[in-house]
Amino acid sequence: MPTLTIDEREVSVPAGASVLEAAEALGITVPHFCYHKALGAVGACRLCAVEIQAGPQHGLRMACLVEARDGMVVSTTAPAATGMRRAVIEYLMLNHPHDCPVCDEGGECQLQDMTVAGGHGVRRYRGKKRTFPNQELGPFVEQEMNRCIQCYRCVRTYRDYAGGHDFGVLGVRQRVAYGRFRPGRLESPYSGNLVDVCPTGVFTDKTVRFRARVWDMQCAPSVCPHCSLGCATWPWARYRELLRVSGREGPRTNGFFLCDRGRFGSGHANHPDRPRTPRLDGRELGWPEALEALRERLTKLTWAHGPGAVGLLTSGRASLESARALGLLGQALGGAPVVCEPHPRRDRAVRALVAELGQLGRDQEDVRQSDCLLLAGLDPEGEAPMLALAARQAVRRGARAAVWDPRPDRLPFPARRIARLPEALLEALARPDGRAPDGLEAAERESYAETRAALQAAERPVLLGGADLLGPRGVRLLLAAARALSRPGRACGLSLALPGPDSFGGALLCPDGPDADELLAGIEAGRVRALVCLEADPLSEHPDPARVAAALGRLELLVVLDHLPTASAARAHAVLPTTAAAEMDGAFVNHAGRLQGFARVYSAGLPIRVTGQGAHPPREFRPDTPGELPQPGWAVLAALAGEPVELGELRAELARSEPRLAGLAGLVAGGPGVQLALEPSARERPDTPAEPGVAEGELALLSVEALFGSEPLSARAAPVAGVASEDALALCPADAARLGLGEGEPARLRSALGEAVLPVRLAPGLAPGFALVQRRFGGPLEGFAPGGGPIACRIEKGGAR
Amino acid sequence: MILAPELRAQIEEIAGRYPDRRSALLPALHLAQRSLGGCVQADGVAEVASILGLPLAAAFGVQSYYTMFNRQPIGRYHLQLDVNVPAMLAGADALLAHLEQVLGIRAGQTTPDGLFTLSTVQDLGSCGTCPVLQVNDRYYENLTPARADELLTHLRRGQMPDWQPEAAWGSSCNILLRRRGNPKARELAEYRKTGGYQALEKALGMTPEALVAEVKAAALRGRGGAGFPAGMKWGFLPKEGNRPVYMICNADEGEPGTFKDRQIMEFDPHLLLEGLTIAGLAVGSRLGFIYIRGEFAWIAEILERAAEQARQAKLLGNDILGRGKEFEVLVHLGAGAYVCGEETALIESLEGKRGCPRVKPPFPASAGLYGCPTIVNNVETLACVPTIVQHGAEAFKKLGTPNNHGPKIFGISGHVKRPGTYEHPLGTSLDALLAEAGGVQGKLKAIIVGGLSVPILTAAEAAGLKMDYDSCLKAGTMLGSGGVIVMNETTSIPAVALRAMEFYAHESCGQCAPCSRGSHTVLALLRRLVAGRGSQADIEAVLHLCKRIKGSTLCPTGDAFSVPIEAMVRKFRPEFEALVR
Repeated sequence: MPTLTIDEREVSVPAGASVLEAAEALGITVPHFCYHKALGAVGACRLCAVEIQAGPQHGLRMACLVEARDGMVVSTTAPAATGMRRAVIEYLMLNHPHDCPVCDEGGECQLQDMTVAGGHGVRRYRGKKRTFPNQELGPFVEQEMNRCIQCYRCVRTYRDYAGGHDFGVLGVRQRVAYGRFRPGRLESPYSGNLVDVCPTGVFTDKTVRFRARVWDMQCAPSVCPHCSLGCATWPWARYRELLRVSGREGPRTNGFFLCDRGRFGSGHANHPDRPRTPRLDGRELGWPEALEALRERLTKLTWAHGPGAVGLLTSGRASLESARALGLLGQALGGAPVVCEPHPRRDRAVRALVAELGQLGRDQEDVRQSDCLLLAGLDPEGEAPMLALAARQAVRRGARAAVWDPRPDRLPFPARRIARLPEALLEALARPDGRAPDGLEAAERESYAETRAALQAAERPVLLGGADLLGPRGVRLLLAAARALSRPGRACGLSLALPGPDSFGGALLCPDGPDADELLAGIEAGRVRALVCLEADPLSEHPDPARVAAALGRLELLVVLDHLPTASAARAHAVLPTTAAAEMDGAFVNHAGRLQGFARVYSAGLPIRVTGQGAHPPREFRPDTPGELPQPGWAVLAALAGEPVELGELRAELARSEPRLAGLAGLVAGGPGVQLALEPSARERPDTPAEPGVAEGELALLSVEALFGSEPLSARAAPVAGVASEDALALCPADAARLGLGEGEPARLRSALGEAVLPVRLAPGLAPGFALVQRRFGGPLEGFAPGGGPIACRIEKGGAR
Repeated sequence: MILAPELRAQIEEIAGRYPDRRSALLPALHLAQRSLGGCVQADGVAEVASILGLPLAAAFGVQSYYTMFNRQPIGRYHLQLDVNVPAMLAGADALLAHLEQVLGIRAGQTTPDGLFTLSTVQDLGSCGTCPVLQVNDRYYENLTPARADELLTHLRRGQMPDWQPEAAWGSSCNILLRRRGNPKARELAEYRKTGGYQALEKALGMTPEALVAEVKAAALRGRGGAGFPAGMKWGFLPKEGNRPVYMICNADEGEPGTFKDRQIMEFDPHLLLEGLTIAGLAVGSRLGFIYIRGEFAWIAEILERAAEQARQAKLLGNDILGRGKEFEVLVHLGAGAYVCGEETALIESLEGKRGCPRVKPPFPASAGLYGCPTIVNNVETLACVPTIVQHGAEAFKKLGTPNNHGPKIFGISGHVKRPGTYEHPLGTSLDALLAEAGGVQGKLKAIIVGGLSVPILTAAEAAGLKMDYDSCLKAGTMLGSGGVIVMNETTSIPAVALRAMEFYAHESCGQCAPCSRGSHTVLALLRRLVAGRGSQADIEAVLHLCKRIKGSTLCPTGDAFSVPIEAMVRKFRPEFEALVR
């Protein structure tokens, strides 16, 4: 711990820290552009000059490049240092356009801040500024190259940190530019980070271009609702419209960055068709009438047919408090159990994890720090995009990575790959002798043995998986493998991507309720007569939509609480509008068991149509806010149960009744959150039977999530509508040739999930014997709910699409 | 496909030579450019990138960085006229005007028949034989307007004449230029006959530690410009570890006024190879590189040919002279970037990247090429190694002055009667050097003694100067590379300053703000001053900027222009002020 003096104050910092970081520890910000905590120092901007007055080095130095040493005396305010900083700002302003009044970055621009702070106000130089043509980079990121100050942050983020291939540095001298080789959409799923890291307005969020000034927007610390990782975000809203999302520092989760789904997929909150008014039997009502009528009907059904007459279904999308309130409603109705997920296999997989995880859970930071990774049945781009980025950081630091997955490799790092379903391999890994499973080829056996040895030798090994492909059995095998690879004092961790942002919390609250199939059987048998769906859409998420549709048709009362215009909501007798995550306070438990709070950014309501868009100013004046009725799910449910509560009370109750959630009491949005103290369930571990395999000669169909448009939120976000990949059926070239199908030719796909005619896409990375589709809302694959694992399918040459 | 299958195979083969395929990017782009008629457009870059498995953006970023890579079609003959300071002093401007007139185009344009593209370039490393015109990859030196006309006539007939330059040289040491006049010296047999490779044989019998100790004892100071002791540099290598060690010869001679390394490589290539091999043995390296500036393509061929001869004679390879030692050499062409003469930029470039200097530390000795321990030494430094090993440090130290030992090649250009390269011990007086070069044409006004990046001296300051590192430092300048640029009373110092600034602004890598913006700003100010549109404030601004830039940049390039420009303005201020109305 070197101790040094900066601006006459002493500070001790960890060995290896730079002077800039040491100053930061004192609360002194040394102005800088190119340095970034996650990207390190490159010494390009030359702004962070300080004067080192004593110690191993002397004179004017770059604070980001000089390691803090014992006995150093540093001045950040010496005339030489401030003079150099002033000079650097002047250099940068030589070429920077004076377009702050029309620049989207204005108000949150580091260059603007530094220029004002440094006192540079008069242009002395009389020459021309250098100018560049701008590139069209697709629907998300706007480029305005003239504003560039050549800090290299963008390329270090896009290429080095995120592993993107299509973006780089071009040119030389004072004509250095950053962009793509040719104009075109940025290919990386992490492209939006350019907006966050650029210290000036070269890269701005195109989806909100010219919509708002940063000081006109509301924002609050939030947690990304687009997958189970719980990345830290800042949603920004203006005039009751969720305009954009930017990355927030999440040391245990995302670090600083976000994936494009999390950043650009939040338009669902502004969806024009979203439920905004309580509706019962086709009539719009006020809250009191709607709640009164529903309470009466639910109570009557319970009285008449017993507590089992009302089914309760939630999903990983609902907040922890809302899921709890659903349980309280069940209690109020005499003990109706809660079903956690509309997809029974997903439900069982999540519950298996939550029951057995104990202290083995690993978050993104653990993955970044790992020295050996195995990705078994995980497709990060679809299930948890940021997990791939975390794994990439580990690999960049020298970690070894292996992948066991039949799907094509889309990872931003190199890994040894066995293109098979991971189940048999995990089973072998979990066995004490670890002998390779039968049926592997020689190279695969070698690869398996090498991976196992590496996992055993590693200091911080982590197994990564996806609940969707693994299913309950696979999850248990992954857990067993992690235990088998652990030894006293050194655990092998586990990081599993789950279906929704609070899948973990939901399963924690009801570890052993029925699953959706049991619920459907109850409806079919006439036992269950009413169903309350909390932010759950069984029609789209259950693997047998036809069965769901028939069952829903039998119900006497279907109540849907949601903020999305889902298929199930369209069928419901009653729709109760809820708020989206950005419109409420709440908490999620992420995939690794970290409880994190999020705060309300703005109040729900119809976005104000700003004048000047060709429309007349609004002429209607009313005392209420249009569209303000959506309420948090927990509030609606508590009212429905007849026991309205405040959020604090609900949290306190939850913290009391569930000791593992004790941290909820002091939870602060924007804080680090609380890692839950989990014990593996003491109960005997059930032996999950193997799933029915796919017969010889049949292809195994995998329906998975895509980056955009597969999960219900981003599927309803306007900015990503144009970029969702085209519906297609991926086959490995050998299988396609056997079936007589070529690239782009139509094929008819039949499976238990449904039938569709799709163009064939040849995927050389896909293991033979598999067919792959990405579910997308609004297309022929809408019914192909992911999460079902491999199922049998038949493929033949298709007719007209 | 744009690239012919043979070319693809050739690129593949080159890629296989390097520890990392990416390093083949520059050679591949050179090959592609040559076979595609002088320019590689987007599709060609894409193909090269795919052969090497590189992201397209990275390949394009590299291509757009280097001056020698053309992205737009050019004429059949690309006429590149060196116009920087030594060339300017030798009349390059008049030649440019002449060429523009006879070709009917301006610099930067192509004749309507597509035969000629005329460009001006910043320094071709031929300061003693200026004006020099590079036609495609050949040099035509000692040009006059009449000779240029003759050349154009040949070119129009489709012939590239084989003209040899007339260069003056001399040596009082007979070490580095010992075989300069021997037309057969490039041949291995001749080299051996004149005592070559005896040092290598001796070195094979010594331990690496003994070799390093010998070079340390000789106090051999790096001849690239900084004068850092080579033996000490070698001693910085980590003592342990199993990472490979790389030995790089810096042959990216590109600073105006400097044309000395060329003399060794072109006329005595085995001397360099021997020195490099011994250095490789000393530092425990098995692979060495000669990073040579792209314009010297024919010299690279000479070196490659010499290396092949050495390989045949088992002087290189995995069992040198049957003694079980291993060392191999790869000759690697740069592509026109002055900054790549800085060792970390050179390493980046050798890795197939944009030649932007790295932040130090880590120094190359601990993390250099491919992250491995690396030593980078200048050509002339390495060429001194055989004599040290063969005759011992003591003999070497007999030459020169205290702390400044050994022979040095001084390249003398500008206003002297016999510009050329002269080898003398360090500490030789400047007056003697000038006398050997035939004396100053006219009256000496100012002199730059160590290449363009050192502070200029007035005639009075230069009188009696001893040409060694310490004496030059004491005189307020630096010995640098020993490139002496002589200016007589007809020279306009503001014009020299402007030309110098054109060089540095052109060569800034663009990485850090003070250099990339500062160089262009100083350039703009000087342009205005020289054009007679400047003001007193502009002179102040130049001085202010130079003061600010000094010591503020990531690599020494900022100092390389701010220090000499400041000196020119300060020492010849009346001339600048005379331009202000």
